[in-house]
Amino acid sequence: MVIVRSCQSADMDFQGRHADEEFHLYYHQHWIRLLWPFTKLAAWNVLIMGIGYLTFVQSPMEDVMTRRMLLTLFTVFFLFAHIEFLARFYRYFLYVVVATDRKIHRIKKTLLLIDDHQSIDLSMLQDMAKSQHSIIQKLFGFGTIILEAQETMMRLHFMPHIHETYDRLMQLRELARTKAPSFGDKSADASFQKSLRQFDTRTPIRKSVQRAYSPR
Amino acid sequence: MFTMLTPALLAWVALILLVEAGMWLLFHRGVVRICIPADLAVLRKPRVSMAMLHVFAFLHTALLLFAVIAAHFFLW
Repeated sequence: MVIVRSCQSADMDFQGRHADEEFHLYYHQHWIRLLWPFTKLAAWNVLIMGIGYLTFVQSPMEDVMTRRMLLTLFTVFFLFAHIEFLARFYRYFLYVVVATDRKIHRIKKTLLLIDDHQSIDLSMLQDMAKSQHSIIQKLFGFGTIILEAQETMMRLHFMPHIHETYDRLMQLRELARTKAPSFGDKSADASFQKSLRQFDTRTPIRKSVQRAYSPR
Repeated sequence: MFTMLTPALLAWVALILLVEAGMWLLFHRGVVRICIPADLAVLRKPRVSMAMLHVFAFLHTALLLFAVIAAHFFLW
């Protein structure tokens, strides 16, 4: 199963990627997400085959029409179970967390209905936490990573190799912070203020008025 | 027997092929821009690539076709 993958190539493309973002790593959810769909599929198969064996082999029917109707019914259930599993299987691969040198992207899709893309800026991250809440999670090494930035919170559930993943994301955050312009940098701050000035729509205030209202 | 079996089987086969192809196309359309590598050489821990998923889709289709055709031949 797919657990953790780190790509060497920096030019891998994905939805919502900026031109200057450098790809670092990406994750699917832990394979345990597929356990329940697979178990359900196996159970349906055993049930259908068991009932089919009892119906058609143990006590064969004389009536041809009834037999064919039952066979059609079993085939419908069999196909339905497989199609449902296939949809879940594909959906598992359509949930991806991508980390670049600037952002963490969470891309979540289904085959038809959902196309959700959330991203969080690494340099803006205020807090990062990891949690594991059960024996199963501890045993298989997966859990939830919670990313907090200003008014945004992103929860990454079923993250595989939680400790390793968390450490990698922490390293990326530090890397992003070193790359981002620091607040103490006066030249960067001045250019930022200058770039903002063109969007300022307030009416200019005369100097005499400014002096009259200035705090002492 | 075969006169009635053939249309029923053809319908099942067509349905399976249609559903499998449709789901694969939808999946491929969705996944094409979310970074599943086409080449395993770029991965440090190679596990699943698009090629492997494609093979899985083929095998799953073959399994369904075999099961449905076998069941209908013996039990129709």
